[in-house]
Amino acid sequence: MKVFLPWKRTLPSLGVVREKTRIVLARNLSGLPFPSSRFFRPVFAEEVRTKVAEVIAREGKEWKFTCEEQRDGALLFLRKEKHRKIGILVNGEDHLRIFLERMSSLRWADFESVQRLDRFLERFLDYAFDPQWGYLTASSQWMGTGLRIFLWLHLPALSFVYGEQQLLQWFQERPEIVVSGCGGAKEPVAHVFEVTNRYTLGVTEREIFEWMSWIERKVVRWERSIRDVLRNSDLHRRTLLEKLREVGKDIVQDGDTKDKKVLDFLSLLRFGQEEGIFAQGRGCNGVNTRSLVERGLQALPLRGMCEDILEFLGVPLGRIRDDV
Amino acid sequence: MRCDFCGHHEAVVVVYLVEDGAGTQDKLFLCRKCMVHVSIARLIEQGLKEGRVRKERALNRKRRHCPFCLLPLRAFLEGGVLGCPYCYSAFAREITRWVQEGQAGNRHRGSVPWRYLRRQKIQRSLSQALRDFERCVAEERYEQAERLKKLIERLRSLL
Repeated sequence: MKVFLPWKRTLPSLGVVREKTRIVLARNLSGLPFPSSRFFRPVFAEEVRTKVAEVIAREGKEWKFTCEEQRDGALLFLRKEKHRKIGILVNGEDHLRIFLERMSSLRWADFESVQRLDRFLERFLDYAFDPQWGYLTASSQWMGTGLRIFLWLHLPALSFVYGEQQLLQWFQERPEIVVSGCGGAKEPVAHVFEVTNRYTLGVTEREIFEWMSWIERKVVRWERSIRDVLRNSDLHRRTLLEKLREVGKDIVQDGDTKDKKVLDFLSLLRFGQEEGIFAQGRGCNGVNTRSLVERGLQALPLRGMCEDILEFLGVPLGRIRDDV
Repeated sequence: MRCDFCGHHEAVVVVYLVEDGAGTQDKLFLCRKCMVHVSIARLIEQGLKEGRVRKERALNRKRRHCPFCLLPLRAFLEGGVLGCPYCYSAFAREITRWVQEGQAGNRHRGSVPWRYLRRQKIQRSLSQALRDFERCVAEERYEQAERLKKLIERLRSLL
């Protein structure tokens, strides 16, 4: 028997807008120089490490952290769960950076988890705090609450229709947020925008969360409405296909294999596939995309941000080669 | 005399530098808070290397370095990076100016560490107990003064 599901007809979009959220709290211990100081290493760095490691080993067993040594001498306490990572980075840019990462939209429960971990550490460690400046941090841009919420939003439809510059301009009109490419780059790559809060002093943690949540909801709704238009209009679908061919030809013929161009191409391809505009297995018609992407990927330095972006787009290296 | 480090509180300790040729100017004035946290040995060693003890006593004189971590003011103005918690009081004027342009307000409104609140509460109780103790001694109520003395010792041990 065929079951009629009315909600399926009214779904605003087939694909879900890809999002990644990262909540970070910066904390420093009182009476010790920050990691940016030239006196910090090795004596004070060791002191901070020992203090934090002792607290976690003695009192924080229920957090089930695994400990990893980073290349730059920082120490990472991390717990990986199904859809999220929670951890503490010791001796990074500040003595402690408490963070939570999730590949989905912003949730109050995540923010509460970060606060719970912060309160746990606070019971055993003396934080550098001033009643006027709040939590004292190495960078003046974090002082006050020490809270930053980073949102990675994949906005191919908006970028395609309005252009990246226009979109950045719209974001810049909002004083409470800062928008950039991934990892703070000036130019967005693969249509992934990083949105973060500008203010950390003179505002409460709740206000920051509410701003970011509001911005996220608004942008995602906008992106989904544009995706609807693109999916349902033949003209727009053709335009998108032509644009993709154009970029593909540029990469193949001119040997123009800059990171941004290849990643933008992959982003559009992925977006088209997810929205059902292009076939899943074939890539785009008329272009030999297999050789195209393979050539592109050979030149692509899959380090740092590129790797993160590909993971964010849900296209691991092996998968791209198989799919296209 | 004001503290040479923070420039805010009254100095309670004077550190004299004993060295051949050291003048009377080579001494450091420290408040109760800075005396606990500041590494005087390192600072004096740094001062000796440069031929003098680095200090900025006059409050109205513009600071060029943080007296604790020796971070130059230029580094803060160029990169917005601070070297230690004392940089916040050393460069208070510059930070206030930056905050007016780049932040939503000039005072913290968010959460406060639990240990900080606890310390504040103990300090308030301690100062109240000290005042009561002095009054009791003046009024020759020695039994109550004895009880207050024990309370003061207990509060001091908690700090």
